[in-house]
Formats: sequence, C-alpha cells, structure tokens
Amino acid sequence: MRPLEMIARTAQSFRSQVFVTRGTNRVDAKSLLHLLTLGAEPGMELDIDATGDDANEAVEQLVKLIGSEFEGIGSA
Amino acid sequence: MLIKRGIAVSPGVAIGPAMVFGTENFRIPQQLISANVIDIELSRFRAALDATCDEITLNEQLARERLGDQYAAIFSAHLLLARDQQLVSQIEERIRQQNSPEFAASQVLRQYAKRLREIGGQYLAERSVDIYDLEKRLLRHLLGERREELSNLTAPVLVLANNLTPSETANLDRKFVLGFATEVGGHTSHTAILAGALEIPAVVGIGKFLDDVSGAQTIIIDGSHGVVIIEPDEDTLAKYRDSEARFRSHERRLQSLREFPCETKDGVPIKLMGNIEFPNEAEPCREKGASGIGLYRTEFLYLESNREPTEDDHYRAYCQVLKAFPDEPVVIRTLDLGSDKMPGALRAAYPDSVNPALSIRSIRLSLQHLELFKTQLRAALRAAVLGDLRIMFPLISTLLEFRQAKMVLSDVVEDLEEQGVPFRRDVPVGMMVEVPAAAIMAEEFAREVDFFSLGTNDLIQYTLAVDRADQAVSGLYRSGDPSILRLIRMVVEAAQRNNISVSVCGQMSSDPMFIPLLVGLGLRQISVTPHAIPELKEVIRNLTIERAVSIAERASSLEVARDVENYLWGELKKLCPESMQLD
Repeated sequence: MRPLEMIARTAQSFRSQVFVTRGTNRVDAKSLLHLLTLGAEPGMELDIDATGDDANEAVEQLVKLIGSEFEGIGSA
Repeated sequence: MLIKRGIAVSPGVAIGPAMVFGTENFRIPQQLISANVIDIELSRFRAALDATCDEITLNEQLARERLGDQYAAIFSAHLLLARDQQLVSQIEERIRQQNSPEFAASQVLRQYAKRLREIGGQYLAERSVDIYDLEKRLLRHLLGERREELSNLTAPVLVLANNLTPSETANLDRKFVLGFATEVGGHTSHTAILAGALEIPAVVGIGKFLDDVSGAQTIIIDGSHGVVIIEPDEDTLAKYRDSEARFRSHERRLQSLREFPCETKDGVPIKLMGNIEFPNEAEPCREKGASGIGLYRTEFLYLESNREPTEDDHYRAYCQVLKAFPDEPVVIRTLDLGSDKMPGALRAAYPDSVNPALSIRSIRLSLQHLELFKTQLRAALRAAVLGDLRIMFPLISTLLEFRQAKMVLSDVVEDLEEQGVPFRRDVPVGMMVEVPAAAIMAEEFAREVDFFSLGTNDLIQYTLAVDRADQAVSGLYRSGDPSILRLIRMVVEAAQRNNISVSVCGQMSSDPMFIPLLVGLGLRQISVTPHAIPELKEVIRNLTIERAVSIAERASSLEVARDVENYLWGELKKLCPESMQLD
C-alpha cells in the first residue's frame, strides 16, 4: 500500500475529524483524493490535527505512522 | 465560456452536446434534471456507486487469486477512491443542484484528474488515469442499458477526442456526429482529410483540452476558423446559430451549381477532380460533381492493419473506386509512405532516420521492396480492366528513378501475361512533380511520361525548405511564393510543348484564391479535396481565360509571397463577392 493510502485508511479508523496540513493547504485526512492534492513528497513537513473524542489517539497513530516512514508497507 | 484554438480542417459550424471519446466513451444524455426527481437520481447514483465498488472488489479478489497481493493492492486503492467521502458528497451536492448524476460524476472526477495532473509528477499522473477509469466505470453503471457508444448513437453529439484513427473517423455516423475536435493532428493528417470528405466540421491540433470538458456540455465547433468553444454564453451561441444557418444556405446554393458544367465564363472546360484516400469516399466525391479522381492515395491500405495488404485487398479497393467513376480517369498513386510512417513489416528495417522527409520514402521505398511494389502494380493493372485507371509514381527525383519504376511495371505486365490473368496493358503512367529537381527537368521528363501531377504540398516543402507541420517555421510555408509560381509555370509549359496532360493536386489547389492563378498558368485539370469542388466551380464559372491569364501575369511579376497572396485574395473577392461575405 502507498503511504497516502495508509494515512487515509488509518484516519478512517477513527471517529474524529482528522486533518493533514502542508503549508496553507489543510485537507481531510480520510480522503485519499484530497491527500493526493497536497502533492506531498518524502522529506516534506506535514502537520496533523484532529477534533473528536478519539482525537488524541488519531494524531498519535498518524504521527507514528509517518514518523516510521511507513514501515510495514505491503504487509498491511 | 472557454475558447480553444486549433487547426481548421473541415469547414462549417456545429453546435451541440459534447461526447468525450477515449475516456468516457459514452454519451451523457443530459446535463440537468428536474427538481422533483432529485431523490430518485440520488439513489440511482448511490446504487451505481455500490455496483462500481462491488465490481472493483471482485477485481481485487480475482487479482489476488491469480496475480498476488501487489496487484490486488491496485484495486484496493481504486476502492478507496470510489468510497472517498469528499468525492461522494461533492457529487451528491451537484445532484441536489439538479445536475444529472452522469454529468455530476463526470464533472467532479474530471476536476480532480485535472488538478492532480497540474500538480505534476509521474505518481499523480497515474492517479489521474485511475480517476478517469473510475469515471468510466461509474458511467457504465449509471447508464446501464441506455448506454450509447459511438457506434450506436441515437442523438446528435460533437465528438471530442485526443485523437481519432482514420477508421474511427471513417465510421463516424454522419447522422449523429455533427462535428469533431481532437487534441492532436495537423492539416495533412489522414483524419483531417477524411473529415473534409465526410463534410463534418472539424478542428484538430488543439492541444490538451479534454480535462476542461465533460460529456453533455454545450460545445461549438467552428471548422472554418479552427475554434472550439466550451459552454458558450448566450451572445456567442446566437452569433454562431446565425452563421451556421448562413453556412447551410451557402452550401445549398453551391450544391445547386452541380447541374451546370464546370467551365469558364467563355466556355473553356476545366476538369475538377477529387483527391481521395478511402474507397468509400469515391461515391460522395462523385455526388459533389467531380469528373474523376485525380489523386487516389493508397496509404490507408498499409496503415489500417498490422499485416501487409494482399493483392486482393488492393484490387477490391481499386475496383470500388472505379465503379463510382466508370467513364472517368482514376489516378492511383503508388505507396507514398516515409520512414516516419512505415508499414508494419518494414518498420524494423528502418530505424528512425535523421530526416524522414529526405530519407527512404515513397517511390524510393517501393524500389527497394519490389515485392511490395509489384503487389500493388499487379492489382492496379488487373483493376484497370474496369475503367480509365492510371498509375502515378510519387516523389520521382531523377529520370533514372522513373525508368526503374517503369521497368518494374513491365516485369509485372510480363508476369500477368504469362499467367494468363486478365489485365489492361495500355494504362497511362505518370508522375508526381513534387521534388524541385523534377520540376527543373520537366522538359526531359515530359518526353517519357504520360502525364504530370503537380504535388504542391511537397513541392513547397522542398523548394522553401520548410516543414509546415513544424510550428517554429510554419509561417514560412507560403503557397504564393514566386519560386513556386515559376516552377509551376515551367512544368505546365513543358507538358504543353510535349503534348502531355498536367494537373495539380495538393492543398494549394483546394484554396479558391489560387484557382484563377492556376487556370491562368495554363492548368485545365485540377484535383482537389472533394468538399471544395462546388466552391471552386463557382470561381471557375465566374472567370474568363483572359482574366485568368492577366491575373497569372500580374501575380508572377510580384516579388514576395505576401504580395502575391494579397493580390490573389483581392481578385477572388472581386470574382465571387457573394461567397466572400461568409467570412
């Protein structure tokens, strides 16, 4: 699985609204289409925020996923 | 409203709903729905989306079983796109605003595809292809049984495509395809030539524009000026409706000329013949009033299929054309392909040449591949039994080359004789004059050939050293250049002195502005794009030989192409004031 697909799937597993921001562009992390429009590439800095009852866990999981440089891709 | 410019290849105006060919491939029946069916249309969309997702899931399972997990992953990404909540809610929002689900899905998906492509990069370009794929699947489910492809249309459309192959173009249903526009292609592309033959307004070479349009959007194709307008405003639409009507009545008036002979005002007959490429163009060409085929290009036989055409393929095609013109000349030009467009089997033998225009092409290719050449000549000689078939060799540069080609023809005659196959022996054999060397040596050639045909496209390209398809220099390509006029005069005079016939084919002769000049230079046979015949006939019928000669004299005295063309344009306006009002 590609990194952006993993982000979308991971975000979708939470009830909270989750957002990914690159520069001034803030998009719905559950939407693969919107993540694609970020034009993100390896090495770029992304911000993650979330609102909802499981917001903390969502941010934590996603930061971990991106920080791990998507280790385990393909096995998921 | 979005205006796109391309190359005008087939005149007229067409207004109607778009059908995007290549990505959607289906006609989107309507753009808007009424307010009372919004809920029904919403559930129709959701059902189609579910069906699309089921289909992708099934593909995913099949891929996993047969190809492995990596391949299945492709489909799981597709599923993620199809189930994207942002996407779905955007489409549903549009349906609530009374867009038809087909139109809504197409518009929203195309916007994303375009955005991704604009961001750039290989990865996003591939994802935009995935989005088009999703669009196609969704439309297939939405349209279900009502699905109309290009081959079974029931309502008029304008076809928009990246490219149309000659056979796709030839098979367009004239009843429902009102016009077409393509991203690629040029003036002399086969598709352009065919569009003219089918009399469908067409614009080619527009560049990327399909991302900007969805099926069912209103489009104007102005094939006279090379303009395509997407979602025109009311004023523009009114203006074009008006010019569409005027164009129709102009066409009707010209068509009424059919009953009259093609001769000058003072009674000198001028033979207007047709340039064709496909056998099924012959009949419409005759209906336009052509007195014979002055140039039958045979390349399609080589380019249509991956196999080499057999003798019977040639024979059948030639017979079909001869049947449309049983009593009039049909000039068959032998294979005229170059290293840029080589028939399948030969492609490998000639890797990319440095300069295709100056490389192995045309008669040079035929003389190096005698079996290929002989097959065509055998078929031509056999078909000649049915009418006045003539054989013409293209791109002859030297006398030796012409003699070699004639020798091959004699071999074929001998073979046919030995085998007792019926054929005609006294078939006239001529040549294209399109290499400056041949024009300069016209006198010597005229003693050996039965007829000349001036191929102005290549003659101009080689004389002025300009490739018209090359945008960087296309402005330097001028039919009215004094050097071209002088070469044409030399060739015509050599033909007259030696009492052989001479005609002119090529784009130049289809342009009404050059007709008085060509007649004035002494040409009495002109072969043109069939759809131009009625218009050119009108010019000829308004012209006297005396006037033509004086126009040719004056034009020949001018020193630069611009002056020649301005002068000829002015004279044409005086000759045919009525037709000129159209522009």
